[in-house]
Amino acid sequence: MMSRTFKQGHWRGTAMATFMLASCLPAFAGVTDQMISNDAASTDDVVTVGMSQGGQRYSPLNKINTSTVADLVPVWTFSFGDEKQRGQETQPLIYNGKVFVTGSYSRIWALDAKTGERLWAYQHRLPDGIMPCCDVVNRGAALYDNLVIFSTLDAHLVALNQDTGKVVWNETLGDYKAGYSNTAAPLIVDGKVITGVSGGEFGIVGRVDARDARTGKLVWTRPTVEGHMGYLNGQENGITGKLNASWPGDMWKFGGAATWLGCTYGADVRLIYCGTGNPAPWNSHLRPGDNLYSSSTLAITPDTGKIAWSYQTTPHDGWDFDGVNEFIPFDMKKDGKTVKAGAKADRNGFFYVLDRGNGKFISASPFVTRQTWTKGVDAKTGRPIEADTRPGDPAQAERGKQVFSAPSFLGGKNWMPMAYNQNTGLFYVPANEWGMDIWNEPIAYKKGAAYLGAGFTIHPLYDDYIGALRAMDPATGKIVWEYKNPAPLWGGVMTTAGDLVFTGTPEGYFKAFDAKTGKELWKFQTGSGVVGQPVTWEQDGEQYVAVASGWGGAVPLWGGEVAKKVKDISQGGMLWVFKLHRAAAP
Amino acid sequence: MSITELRGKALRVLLLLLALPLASVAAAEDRLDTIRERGELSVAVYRDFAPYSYADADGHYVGIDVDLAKALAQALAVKLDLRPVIAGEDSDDDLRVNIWRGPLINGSPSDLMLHIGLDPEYIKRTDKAELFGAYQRETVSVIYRKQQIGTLDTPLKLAGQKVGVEVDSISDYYMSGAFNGRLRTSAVRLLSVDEAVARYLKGELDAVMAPRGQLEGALFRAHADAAAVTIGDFVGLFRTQWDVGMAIKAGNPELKAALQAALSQLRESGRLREIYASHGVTLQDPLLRP
Repeated sequence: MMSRTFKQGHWRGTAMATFMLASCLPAFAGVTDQMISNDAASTDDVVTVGMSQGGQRYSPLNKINTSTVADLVPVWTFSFGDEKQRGQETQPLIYNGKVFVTGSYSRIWALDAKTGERLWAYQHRLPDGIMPCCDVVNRGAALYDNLVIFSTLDAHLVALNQDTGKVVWNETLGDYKAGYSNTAAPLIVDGKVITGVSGGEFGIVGRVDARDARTGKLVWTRPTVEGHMGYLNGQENGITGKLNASWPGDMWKFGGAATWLGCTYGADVRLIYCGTGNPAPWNSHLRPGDNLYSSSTLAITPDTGKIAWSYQTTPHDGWDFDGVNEFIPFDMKKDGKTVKAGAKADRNGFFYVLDRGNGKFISASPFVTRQTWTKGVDAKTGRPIEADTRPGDPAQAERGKQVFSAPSFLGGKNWMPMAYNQNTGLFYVPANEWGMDIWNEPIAYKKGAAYLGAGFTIHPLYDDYIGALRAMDPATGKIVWEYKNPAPLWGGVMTTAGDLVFTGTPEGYFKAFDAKTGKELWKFQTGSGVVGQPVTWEQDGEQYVAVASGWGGAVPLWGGEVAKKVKDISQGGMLWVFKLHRAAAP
Repeated sequence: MSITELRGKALRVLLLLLALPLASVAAAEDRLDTIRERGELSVAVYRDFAPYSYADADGHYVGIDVDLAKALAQALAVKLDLRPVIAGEDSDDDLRVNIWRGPLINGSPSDLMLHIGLDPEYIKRTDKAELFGAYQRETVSVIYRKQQIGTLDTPLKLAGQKVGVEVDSISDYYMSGAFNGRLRTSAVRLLSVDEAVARYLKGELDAVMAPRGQLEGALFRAHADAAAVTIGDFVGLFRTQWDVGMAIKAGNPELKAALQAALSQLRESGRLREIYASHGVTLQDPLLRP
């Protein structure tokens, strides 16, 4: 109604406008820092990807619960349209009667939350020649004030007016010609929009940026590889780490460690947590040392962009594990005490629990059945004990010695976020059971020149399943229950006070499980693979659940036996919204 | 990886089997027919890749591969649609994006791509693109200051020198990995061979290791002499020489034959050698047949 009034221009004068703003739309003031801090508790909106800055993906709503979930039915759907039906890894945001949802190819829509009717659409104009490594996905937007902010495949950060979809500001995160891109959802902390960068294997250095969310102006930037200078308000702000402490020669200059999955925030300790990717080049034998801060979680202070602590999950990463996975703050009850902890399910197959204030190691427990690369984590040092299976020895280049390694480079868990339930005290981890053969590939070329690449074949570890949704007890490191899925899991997880866990499958089902037992209670076929991130909210006294459907992401790109399990999945691009069935009035 | 996106990133992966739908088998029409109908040959060349394909001061694309593309289009009696493309992480990516599948974002596959590394095993392994038309042999070489380094009879003489290499290239690999890493900290990693040669000429580097054509081209453009050039069998390097050729989508025998005929003519007439010479590069004949 408001937008129509604006469009028709019927009002006259400021007094009238003020009256209308005050009386009709109190929420028009826009999304505030307080609303963002309070996102987990406020049930009538979802203003943050992760459903809170910490990314627990937990809702206190319980009208949809283990007893009622069988009555969950679709309310409306929205098709993302045209031919651009690729992986839909987004999470919708809900605010002020609108649903904001991003889609493949750097698109975003605002929809009427009641009807699903499209209010506006924005399609970012992408230049020719972008080479996204894996798929043309987007993982969601951020809301601040009257803006909706999202990142694009050509490494821009774009802020749109929530009501009109018009561009308010547009900032460059990196040069797409040099391989930079971005697909992660931005995070808002104290009026700043926090982003990472993604990009190719070489020439890229990971970075975390903080910009003024209202203007896009850069406040600070923090590179993730030692030796690179950070900046605060345009002034030098100290290099990251210590030059040549863990990198030989000038290899740090192109060290990788991309922050391609973005960040989470621990408000009580005022730290931003960002995961970093693998070091470059891929062949670890060429870069002896820990290669800090690749494959790590970094805790960064929001005001200054300084690194408060770091924890490296895979020192001297030689398996392309990355360490980008989300670090989720939670309060752990153990031995009658409450520990201010954080948890991360890493690509390398360990579920880590750390002290979220100082990064001190608490525990690491496998959440997959096989880890060939390690014999466990030394509890004293927090470092993995490496098994003797490191691939890529250059001395073996011609002979092509093959190493089998599990998990595969796609990880025990990839990008798809886990969830933490404050009632059950359990984390719900979307895991995959696969390994890889990896060998030096001397018959490779790059820009017309000979090149030593790596050959890979991914193998499922079991005949009957790859995906496994696992409930982990962070206090004991034990798996409480698991659900096995034939195809690899690639979608986000959400959990609620209704004792439910929601996630989707490549086979097209959106499913609900009993959070305590893992019993499958409900499923709905969405018509394409589900790799999106579910949300829930309350509207007009009813609880809603939404998820995007649309198969894609990195899985279909890799061949071998995995491809067979997913080759018949239809492409798609659809937002599905559900609520409990209500019988017609008699 | 995002990779995974792997971000970004991910390792170079052999796409042994793609889950994407392949073009229908019944390719009745050879691509040569559509090229003739359209009156245009689309040719992918690497962007920012001197002396083969790069923008000159006016922003026009020039270079050896650009001239070769023009000559091939002329031989087919069609116009040239030149497409400078960003290089992928390896040529498997380039062939997928530019030849047999097309880009994920905008655009369509090209009829032809130039400057693809060739050897019999790689040709065999690549089934969705046809690799042929070898037109040049390339060799890893070093330019260096002889008065400082002496005769470069062993690469170990590069230890302790500042040796420019393009990051993540075969030269970078060699400096990082050979002799158990004894040359690792002597490498100065830069974004391009051109940048390395420019810094060498300014006296900031003692040597540059790169494919010879790129070194010769860079020196020529800078009107500089090569000081000492060594070409060689570098101990411990898995390959020091290879052929360079072209790629089209598999299953287009008429297009292949027409391009082979055109290339033979360019070679026999001496035109190909002239093209190389005009960019300051010595044409070394390939071992593979075109």
